[in-house]
Amino acid sequence: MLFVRTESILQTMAKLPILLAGFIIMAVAMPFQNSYSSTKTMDLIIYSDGSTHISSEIGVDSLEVDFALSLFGNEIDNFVAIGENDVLLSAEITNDVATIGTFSSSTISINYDIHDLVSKEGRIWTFTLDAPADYTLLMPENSVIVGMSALPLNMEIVDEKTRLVLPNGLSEINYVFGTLTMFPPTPTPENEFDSTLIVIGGAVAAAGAIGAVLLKRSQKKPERIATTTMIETGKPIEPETIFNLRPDLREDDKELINFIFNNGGQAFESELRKKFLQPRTTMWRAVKRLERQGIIEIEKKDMQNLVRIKKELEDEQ
Amino acid sequence: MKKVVSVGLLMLVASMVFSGMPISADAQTDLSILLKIALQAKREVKQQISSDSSEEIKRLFEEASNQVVLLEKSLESDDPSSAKQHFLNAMKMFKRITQMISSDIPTQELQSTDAASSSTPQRDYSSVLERINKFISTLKSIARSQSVSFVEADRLVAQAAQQIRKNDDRGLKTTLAELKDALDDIQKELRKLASQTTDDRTIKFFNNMLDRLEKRGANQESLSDARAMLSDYEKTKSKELKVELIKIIRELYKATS
Repeated sequence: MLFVRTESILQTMAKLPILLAGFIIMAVAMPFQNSYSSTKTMDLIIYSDGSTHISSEIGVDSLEVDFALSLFGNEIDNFVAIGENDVLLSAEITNDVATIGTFSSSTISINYDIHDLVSKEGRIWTFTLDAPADYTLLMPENSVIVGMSALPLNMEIVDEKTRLVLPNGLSEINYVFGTLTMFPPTPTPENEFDSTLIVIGGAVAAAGAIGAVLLKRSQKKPERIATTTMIETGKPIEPETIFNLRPDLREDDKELINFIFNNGGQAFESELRKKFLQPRTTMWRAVKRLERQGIIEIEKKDMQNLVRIKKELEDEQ
Repeated sequence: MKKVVSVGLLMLVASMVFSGMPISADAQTDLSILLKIALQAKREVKQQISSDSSEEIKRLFEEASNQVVLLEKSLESDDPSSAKQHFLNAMKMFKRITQMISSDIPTQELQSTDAASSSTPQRDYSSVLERINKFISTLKSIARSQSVSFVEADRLVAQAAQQIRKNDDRGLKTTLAELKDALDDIQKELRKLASQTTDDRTIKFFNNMLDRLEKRGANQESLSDARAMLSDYEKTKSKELKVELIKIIRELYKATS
């Protein structure tokens, strides 16, 4: 027969008051755990014009009707406060304080754009923030950090931008839009060649050859000579001239040409991407298209593609 | 043995109590990052220095480069405090050099450099549109279960993008103003829809709190007063009543703890 000793169990149970006391402490402490505000997460994105987007998650007292949030400046745009269950909370901004109706929410999510965190002097842009908690900071594309007053906790590259993890407290970061990029140069898309491109290339080459013969014949005509003289002026060709000589140009290519011309006849490919909000490959194809048509030339400068309108129009390749 | 078990149990309870509280711990810097940042800065600054640069700039660059070498050595010898110091020294000097070079560049040249890097704040509408797009995404995430139309806002964003491409600044300004109005209307609509949900949530929250207080043995008279007040609040949605209710609940919590 199996006997079980129960005395020790009873003795353990005698310690029940201690256990009870523990649970009471826990029960009492529960409502107070969220009775103060605390920044749980904070993520910042700096845009190329120096404006900064802030998104933050904050723990608040669910028993407070309103929560006064100190913003990092006065110039605020696009402010949104979201409570639990994705409810839009009412918010009123006075100077650098947002009063948010947070009642019954213990965590709120804040999103806004601010124009006070980045200043510019000469070429140097300076980001300054006294943060209440550790935070992430996504730097603008093509920016290079040239000064830093705090030690970053981590750094990674996200979509070709630098993302830093910075400690709470005062940080100052100085950056410039670099002549160098920290990333490997754009992969040469020659690798993307396929048989279709070879066929198209062959056709273009054939068309080019025919065009060259025709051009040579037509050079004898006086009006053609006049056109060439007008083009060879040492300045980039006027967009209108290009459009007249290349009537089949796509509308978006015409916009590209207009922009490059107004930018002094040249622009980095990265600028074109930023200006026209186009992905890297789309813009590369557009630039290559214009190069094939003899309208622009591409030069590698500081590991970037510098696109320049030619001074004289060439035959299509 | 019993004492050990009791202490263990208390520690367990304490850990449960404090686990919900935010812990502020000093995170450690991954020191290899410092070298990466310093080397990037060095490459960038070197690119800016030309044979025409002043002797002072060249001397400072030598010093800064030396600090980067020392930073590398400190990392190799596993000396974090020296590494941090050399990093900060180097970055301070790189900043100084960039400032000096920047002030040496004639204003006209500086403007053209800025234009080339598309960093003139007033004209960078792409950034403005990027931020508006982010704002719209946030509003869409709030509105996902509600019937709020974003058709007009989306149309205006597409129009603005086209105007940026065409350098149509005047048209763009008008579109951005219209977009602002459209987004204000969306926010108003969302807020209207949210206010009903918020009221329901508030009443539910008060009820839960009063039930919890009842279980904790709160004063019955005060509780029934609070319930009567809550019933009034359900009808009037008065902010004063809400504040008064919160006061009573706080006092009852204090009394029962």
